[in-house]
This record gives sequence, C-alpha cells and structure tokens, in this order.
Amino acid sequence: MNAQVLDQLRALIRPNPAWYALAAAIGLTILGVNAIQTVEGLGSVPAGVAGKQGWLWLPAGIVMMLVVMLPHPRLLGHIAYASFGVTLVILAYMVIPNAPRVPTINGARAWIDLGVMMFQPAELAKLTFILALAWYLRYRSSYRGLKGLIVPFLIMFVPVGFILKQPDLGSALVFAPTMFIMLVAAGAKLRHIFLLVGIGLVILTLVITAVLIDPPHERGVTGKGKLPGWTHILASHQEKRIAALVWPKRYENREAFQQITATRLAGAGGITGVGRDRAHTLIKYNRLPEPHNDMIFSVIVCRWGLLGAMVTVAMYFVLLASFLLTAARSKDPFARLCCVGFGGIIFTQASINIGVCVGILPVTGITLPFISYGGSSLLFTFAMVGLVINFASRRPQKLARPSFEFDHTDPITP
Amino acid sequence: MNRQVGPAWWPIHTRCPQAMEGLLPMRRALRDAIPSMFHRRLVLLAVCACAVIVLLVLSAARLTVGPAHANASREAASKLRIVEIVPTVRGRILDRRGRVLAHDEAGWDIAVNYSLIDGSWAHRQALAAARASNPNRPWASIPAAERERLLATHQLDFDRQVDELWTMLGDLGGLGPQQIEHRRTDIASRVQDLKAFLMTRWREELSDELGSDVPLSAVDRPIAEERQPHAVLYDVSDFVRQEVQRFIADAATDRPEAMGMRAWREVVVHRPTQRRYPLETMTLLVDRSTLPPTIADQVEQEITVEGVAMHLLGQTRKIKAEDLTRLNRPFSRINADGQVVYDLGGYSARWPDDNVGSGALEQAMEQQLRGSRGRYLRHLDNGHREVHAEPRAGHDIQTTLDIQLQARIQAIMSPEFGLMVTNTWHGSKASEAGDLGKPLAGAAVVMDVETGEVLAAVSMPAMPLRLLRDDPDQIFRNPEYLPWVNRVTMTSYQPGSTLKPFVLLAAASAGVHDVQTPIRCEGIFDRDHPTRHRCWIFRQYMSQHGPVSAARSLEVSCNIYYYTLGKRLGIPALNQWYGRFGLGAPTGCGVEESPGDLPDPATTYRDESINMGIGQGPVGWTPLQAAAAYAMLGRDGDYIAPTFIIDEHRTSQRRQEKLKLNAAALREAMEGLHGSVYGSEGTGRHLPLEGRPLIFNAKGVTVFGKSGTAQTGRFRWIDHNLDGQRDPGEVIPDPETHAWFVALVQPDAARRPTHAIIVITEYAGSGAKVSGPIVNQIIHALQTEGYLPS
Repeated sequence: MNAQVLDQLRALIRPNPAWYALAAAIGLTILGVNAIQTVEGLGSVPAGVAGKQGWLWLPAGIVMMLVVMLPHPRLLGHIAYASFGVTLVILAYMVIPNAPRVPTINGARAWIDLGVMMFQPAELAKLTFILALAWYLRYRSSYRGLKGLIVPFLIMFVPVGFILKQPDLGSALVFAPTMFIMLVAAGAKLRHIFLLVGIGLVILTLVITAVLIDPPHERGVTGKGKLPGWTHILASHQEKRIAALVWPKRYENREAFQQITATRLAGAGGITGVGRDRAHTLIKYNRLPEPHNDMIFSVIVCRWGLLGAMVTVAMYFVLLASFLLTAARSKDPFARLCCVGFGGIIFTQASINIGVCVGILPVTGITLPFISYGGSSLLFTFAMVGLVINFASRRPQKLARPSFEFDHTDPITP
Repeated sequence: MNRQVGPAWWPIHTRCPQAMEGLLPMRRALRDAIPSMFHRRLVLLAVCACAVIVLLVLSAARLTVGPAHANASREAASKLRIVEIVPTVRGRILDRRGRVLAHDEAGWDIAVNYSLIDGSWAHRQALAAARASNPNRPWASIPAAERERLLATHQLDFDRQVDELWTMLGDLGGLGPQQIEHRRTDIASRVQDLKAFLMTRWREELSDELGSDVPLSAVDRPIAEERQPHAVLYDVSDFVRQEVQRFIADAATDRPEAMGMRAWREVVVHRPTQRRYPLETMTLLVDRSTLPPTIADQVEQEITVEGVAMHLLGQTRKIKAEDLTRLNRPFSRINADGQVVYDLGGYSARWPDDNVGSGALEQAMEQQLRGSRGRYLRHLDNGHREVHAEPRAGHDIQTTLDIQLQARIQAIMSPEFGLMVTNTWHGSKASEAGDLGKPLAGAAVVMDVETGEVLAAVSMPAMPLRLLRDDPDQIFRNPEYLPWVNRVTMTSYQPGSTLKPFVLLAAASAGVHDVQTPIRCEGIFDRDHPTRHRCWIFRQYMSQHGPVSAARSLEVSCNIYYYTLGKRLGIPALNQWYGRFGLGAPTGCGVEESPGDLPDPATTYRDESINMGIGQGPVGWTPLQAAAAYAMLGRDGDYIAPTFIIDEHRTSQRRQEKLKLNAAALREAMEGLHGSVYGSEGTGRHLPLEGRPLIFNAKGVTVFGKSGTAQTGRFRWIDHNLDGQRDPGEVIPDPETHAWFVALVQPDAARRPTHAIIVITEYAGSGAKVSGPIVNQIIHALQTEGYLPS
C-alpha cells in the first residue's frame, strides 16, 4: 500500500460535510429495507427481497463506496470519458435486437443478465454521464454562449436515446434536468437556461394540451379525433397516463389504477401512519402495483404517515445539501461539478418519484434512489456518495484558480 | 434616453438595460454578500430544491390531512371487505292441484373456454411452445417456412390434446363423436353469429359517431362470449363431475405428465341453478272412439306432447347488464298509485348469473317468484363474515291450470291426433282440393264458469323446450305458424258469429230491441245494396231465413237479424256494451295480453256498426276474452275477469260486475245456443259426413254452443324470409276463414253451465266443422279428468 493511499485513508477520517450525506444515504437505505419488508410477498414482490437489499446490496454498495473513495479525483477525471464510452457501448449493445443476456422484463430490455445479478446499465450511465459532463465543462467557458451548449446536449442525448430505446422513460427523464443543474452550477447564462427550459416547457405544454383537447378515450377505435394525428407524438399509454391525471374516474381500473391506488394508500397513512401490519394488509388488498419499486413512497407514507414522508424528504435534502456543501468547499472544478451533478440526479429522481406517488405527476416508471429495491441502483448511488466523500476529503489546493467565476465578464453596470 | 439594443423578443434587460436598473442594487448586494458566482449558483439550486421539497410535502399533506385522509382511509379499508352474494331460490310455479310446473334445481354443467371451441387455444400454445423451443433464435429472424414447420410440429401435439379432451368429454357425457362435435360447432356458430350482429351494430354506431363509414375491421374486438366458458355437457352426474374435476386438478399441477393434458386447464365445472319444467313433456293415452267416424278408432292412441303450458309459464334467462341501465320490464312494477316503479331487488349486473323471468308468468310474477339474495360481508384481513341479509327464497305461485288437462287438450290439438289438420269435412278450399293433413294453428281455452279460473289454455303449435334449446329458429323464424305467440292471450281475432249472443243481449238490455219481435231475413240486409251485408244462407244457397225469432237467430246464425241489431245500436252503444263484456281492455289475467279491438267511434264509418253486429269489422277479441264473455253468460250476466293465478289477494282486484242484462234475452240466448247444437237447423249439430254424425256426442252433459266463421280480410301475408317486405309469393289472396267454436257445458245434474270452452283454428274453414269436433274432444277430456260427469 503506497503512501498516497495511506494519506487518503487518513484524510478520509477527518470530519467533512459529506459524512452527512453518508448518514442520509444509509438512513434512506435502512428506511427502504423496512418499507420493502412491509410489502414482502405481496403480488409481484418476491419474499426475501428486503433481506437481500439490507444484507447484500447495502454492504455491496458500501464496498463500492469505499473503493471509489480511494483514487485521486484527477485520476477519475482522466477515465471519465473512457468510462462514458464504455457505458455507451453497453447501452448500444442493449438495443441490438435479441442480443444475448438481455431478457425482456415487463416489456423493457433494460437489464443485462450477469449471472450473479441483473445489471441495469442505465444506473451506470447516470454516474458516467455526470463524470463525463463534469470533465468536459470543468475548464471551459464556451457554454456561456448558446453554441457552446451543443456539446453538453450531445453528451446527454446519446445515452438518453439508447435508454429510451429500451424503453425506460423513467431513467431517461432524469438526464436533462441533471444537465441543466450542472450547467447552472457551471455558470451558464441563466437566460440561456431559461430559454431552453422554456422551449422545452412550451413543447411539453403543447403536447399535453393536444392530449387534453383530444384525449385518447374520445378518439374511439379508429383513433380519429378533433386534432390531426401528428399532434399526438406520445405513445398511446403515455397519453392515457396524462389523461388519467385529469379524468381519474375514467381510467380508474386501467391507466390510473396505479396512481389512484398509490395516492389512496398514501392518504390512508394520515399524519403518523398506520403501522406495519395494517399497512401490509391495506397494500395487499388494494393491490398496489410495484410496491417495492416505483410506488414505495406510498408504502412509506402509508406505514409512517406524513411524518415519515417528511423525514424521507428531509434526508434527501440533507444529502443534497451535503453534496452542495462539498461542492462549495472544493476548489477542484471537476469535483465541484460532480458533486452538483450527483446531488442533482438523486434529488431529481426522488422528486419525480415522490411527485408520482402524491399524484402531481403522471406515472413514469422511476425508482426512488436508496429506497426502492434494486442492486444496480444502490451500487451506483453509493458510488456517488463515495465519490463525494472522496472529493470532500481532499484538501483544497492552495493556488487553485477559482473555477466557474464569470462575474468579470458580466459586470453589473448599465 | 432609451437606448434600444437588439430585436424586440430579447429579454428586457438585454434590450434595454435601463429597464433593469431597479434590480441593480439587489444584484449588487447579492454579489457583495456572496462574492463567488459558483456559490451563488449553488444557493440558487438549493433554493430551487427547497421549493420542490415544499411542494412535495404540501402535496403529501394534502393527501394525508383532513377529509382527504378520511376518504382515503375509508376507501382503502373498503378493499379489505368483499360482498359475498348468496344466491336465492326462485319460487316454484304449481298447477291447481299442486303439481310442480317450474322449480329451481342446482345441477352441474361442464363448460370449456371458447378458445377450445374455436381452436385458437392449440394455435396459441403451439406458437408459445415453438418460440420457447428456440430461446436463442429470435422468432422473427427464423425464415417463414421454417416457422410454419416448427409451428406445425408443435400444433400436432396440442391438436391431439384437444381431440382427446373432446373425446373424453363425449364419453363422459354419453355423446358420440359427432354429437359432441355438433355441440362444439353449434356454440361456435352461435357466438360468431352474435359477433357478426354486434359488429354490424358497433360499426353503425361508430359510423354515426364519426360521420363516415368505418371498415368492419375497426370494430373487430373480442366479445364477452369469446372469453367465457360455454357449457357443453349439461346437468351431469356427480360421478362425471368428479371425474372432470380430477382431470382439471391433474392438469393444474406442474408435473411433467400433466403437460400432455394442459387443455384441461380450459375446462370448468359450473353449478348454475337450472330452472326446470318437469311436466313440460308428457305422454298420454287418448281415446279415439268419439272422433268423427272417418278417423275414429277403438284403440287408444299414445301421444307425447312437448312444451306443455310453456306459453303460459314463460322461461328464465340470465340477467343482462342492459336490464339495469334500461330498466327493463322484469324490474318494473306498478305501485299502489298506478305509477311504474323500478325495483332491482338487489340484482346487479356484477353478478350476471342471476336468472330473471322472461315472458309470461315467469316474467309477470317476477316480484313474487324472485326472492332476495343474501349479502354477506367478508373481511379479508381476519376472515370474519358479517351477515347483512340472509337469502330469502321466492314465493311459490299457484296457477289455475290443471296440467294434466292442459296436456290432454294439447294432445287432442296435436297434428298426430288428426283433428288440427285439414280434414275432409272441413269444407275449406284445401279440404275440397284434397290437400289434407296440413297442420293448423289455433288455440283452446277451458274456463271454470263459477270462478273465472282458466283450467287449460293451449296455443298451437307448442313451444317445446327441446326446440328452444337446440333449434330456436324453428320457433322464432317460423312466420307461417308463429309458434312463439301465445294465441290465447296475445292474438285478437274477429269474433264472427260467436259475438252474436252478446249483440242480442246488448240490444235487448239497451232497449233497442224486443226479443219477442221476430226480424225478417230476406237474405239481403239492404235492397239498395244487394251485394253488401248478405246472410250466409243467401251467399251459400241463394236462400233466406224468413221471420227469425231471437233464439232461432242464434240457432241458424242469421246475419240479417244481427245486422239489424248492430245498426240499431250504433257504434257508441256497441262499444259500450262490448266493453262491459270484456272487449277492448286487458283482462288482467296475469300474463301479457292483447286488449282486443274496439273501434274509435269518432273515426269509424257509422255503418260499420252493421258489420260489428255479426262480429266482423273493427272488432276483435282474444280467445281468453271470448271465454270470459261466455262464462259471464253461463253465470246469468255476472262478469268476472279471467285469471291464471290462484291468489286470494288477487281475487279482490279482479273485475267483478253484475251486468243487469235483460232476463228474457238471456233465456233466448241460452235457448239459441242450445238450438245451435241440438236444433234441426243448428249450425253445430252435424258434420257433413256420411250418416251425418253429430258433432257433440258426450253423454251426461248439455252443450250450449255457437260456431263462428270469421273472415280474415282480403289477403294473408306470410313473411317467409322475415324481411318485413311483401315479396311475391308471400301474399295469399282471399284466405280461409278462422274457425271458432265456443261452448258452455252443463252437466245434467247442474243448474247452470260449469265450463266454458273456446276453440279457434286459424285459416281453417267453417267454425262448427273445424273447431266443433275439437270442442267435443275437450268435453271428453274434461270427463276423463273428472271435471264433468260421464
């Protein structure tokens, strides 16, 4: 073991703000294990998954975390592009029709059968995408212009394209917000960000308006409605999920079933929750789909109530705050952007998932980081935590040039 | 000075920096507070995150606090309970002697899923197996020819399984391979017919909705029947049921040997409650010795009759979802205020296995027969069961029918007995042309005079359950005989001469005619119009009746006498009197009925009253109304509405009225009816056969009878292809008359008639000749069954 590693190990013992993140991450995982326990054996949830999550994936995640704590950030930066490239190759492999070891599960080919585990490359992509984007943005200022945003967009669109092809809309959804968050942190002009997000929102609004003006249930068998066919660019089931938010009764036993059940169970939890056994019974007979996965937040609210929900959300905030604090203290631009990216992606994903479970967003099929059952997800989220601890443990270089400071190009004078 | 930079759509502070000057101090202060831009951006992100968190927590709170929480709790908890429905037992229908005509019986049916019936199961299984046998080769990448081959090899195995299953089902059900195959194809064609019908309707609806024609493929979706199991073996024994259940249990296991019998997974054992009509088929020995000599025989004939009383009992059917949305008849009843109210009686389309009455008594008596289902609330979490309501069986209803008499009369009216077919003595065009033996349609009613209860009511042709189940087209697509029609209550016929006694009573009671004064018959009613309103004797023999007394007018059935009375009474008075005799309004007998026909005086030509005097023109009654009217005559003018149901509660609701008829006219009428059968000139005395045999030959009774030969209009239309259009060949000009014969039968020991008998034979010829012998046989049947002394 060389001196550098020993130094690093010593550095890791020094208190740093990323420890809060670690505490939050472990807290969320334990909360998740308990939530999964509540629903073990129900419907599609096999018995023993909670144990697997707690005794296999959590330790594996911590090991992963420990491993990524050691290498120097610069080294990580140097392999950022390479790892991103490998990820893209894996994602490209998955979209090859009938590629071996890529089974179709629930209609999506999102997993690779590694024998020991079902590996979900989209989780790896989240990590390497952030590394690559951070590595790309770290010394530049080109993204202060509109043209300079093209490359970051490309870096985002390539993995998103592959993941959408699987199809795994939920995973793909978090990339764009993460990129914008990193661009904001990196000092891109806010008016550009607003412009692009605005364009996106306008398109989204138009698409949703088209769905609402001409909802799928009014189009009949031939699909002929008030608007011409090209206005409906979403898949039929996606349109129905949007329409289900507006006409929940009409889609009660079909597209809206999942969400109605989720909000009902969450509501049943009240302020303090109904406790484990009662929650188990309620979830069992209300037939909540995916209670250990996409809909686990409802399980939490049902069992521990609004207080449980607030504790959960608070832990995510602690995690995010800890990541941002680490970014603030770090002088290394790569580390800074990585911290922001990791925090952003975890927080975005959690927000969308919770938004679905409390009924303000349509169902997208997205998991709750640390809490939902899933090996790949846990491994790579803990890897993010590990990297942040790694960055936090590094002493800032004395002579480091301040990064992402563009005030001099943007003076406040008329 | 406003310095404009850039186009109008630029943000204001870019275009016109001065506009933002108000914000400058804030930005400056921010920069002073946090000199690092990166840190300011982090704060911005953190603020956004806080906003998101607040939004999420508020959304969660919206669900978990206050009424939303109470609602959600209640709804979530409601899923822990399921309502269990306990079926009820429908009441029985009994005959007047307590014999069971209809009852519920639980039995076992063996049903198979439709995918086995249309063969799609084997194909689907073969496809799955073929795909599974090549896990490493994408199915789409295999060449089409090889795919076909793979599919075919696998399909063989599954086809064999299906064949074995059908053979086994056939063996278990005691059916040959062809019979079971016939059942299979029968179900398939029925479902496909239904689907074709539904698709046509859906397409019309969709085309209407979209305003343009849509292809049939746009509405091609599986109908419920394609997803349901269909019964192929009915009412199997316990042994068969257990065998089948054993097969099903074996097939459900994952053992390798169960692979060869996977088709059994598509088989289910049903326990439907079957409505049984145990006396629907009866075999009787019928005496032929009293028949007209040409067909008489000393040997009794064994006759099996099917569909006994089915026209009156009706049937049951599965409840349909539409029954609840459209509030169909079985669920409507009329309450005390005369309003129609709907009462689902706890029925719901969610449990579509419930039976409801369909037609006749089963439908009319739905409220009494139905009973109510039990409702249990089962708590899934702890297994507790709360009883909300115990099931309550339906009430039995007792009909006035004597099923044995009913069957015997049906036997008498069956074509094989030889009376309800064209015969040599009928005097119809068919009998003169030698076109003999053609079955005739018609109806018979036997009524107890004292009570107005119907002892038997036969409508021919009958409606056997066997045909209803196996070949309903023979019943429902038979435009010539219309076997589904209950002619007793639902067909209004012109009464013809059978109405004459009532015209006499009306004229005498209304004071427009003195029964002692004869009326002269010169064959023609009106000399100015010698072709109109002629007497039958003039038409047939160019003769006349001369002066006719009241009694003789009935004996010889003189038309001129009744033209005169009809004219004197006029339409309003005729209407009023006919109404008192029960025409023109439903009798309230308990089953669906036609009110009969009476003209609207305002729109009817005045001289129609002349025709109405002889029971022609715009007047019609059902055989049941005719029976009620004649029974009234037998009771010396007390009208009692007829009934099919024995129920003290109902008796008080039936119409009962003393009509205060002219006593002399009543005497004359009865004398005329007596003369009609026994008088030398009586129209109901002889058959035109060698030796002039008497029509009525029963000992120990006196018959007061009246024939009626009712004209049936200028043409008869039989819609052979059921398209509602008068196609060539469907219209028969100058059709045969309907043949009526009505009789009041008085046992020698009795003071007045005890039974009224009505027979009508459609398109058959002369009333006395066609229907008289049938009435005679019914009198013998009443003697055989002990209603009349012999």
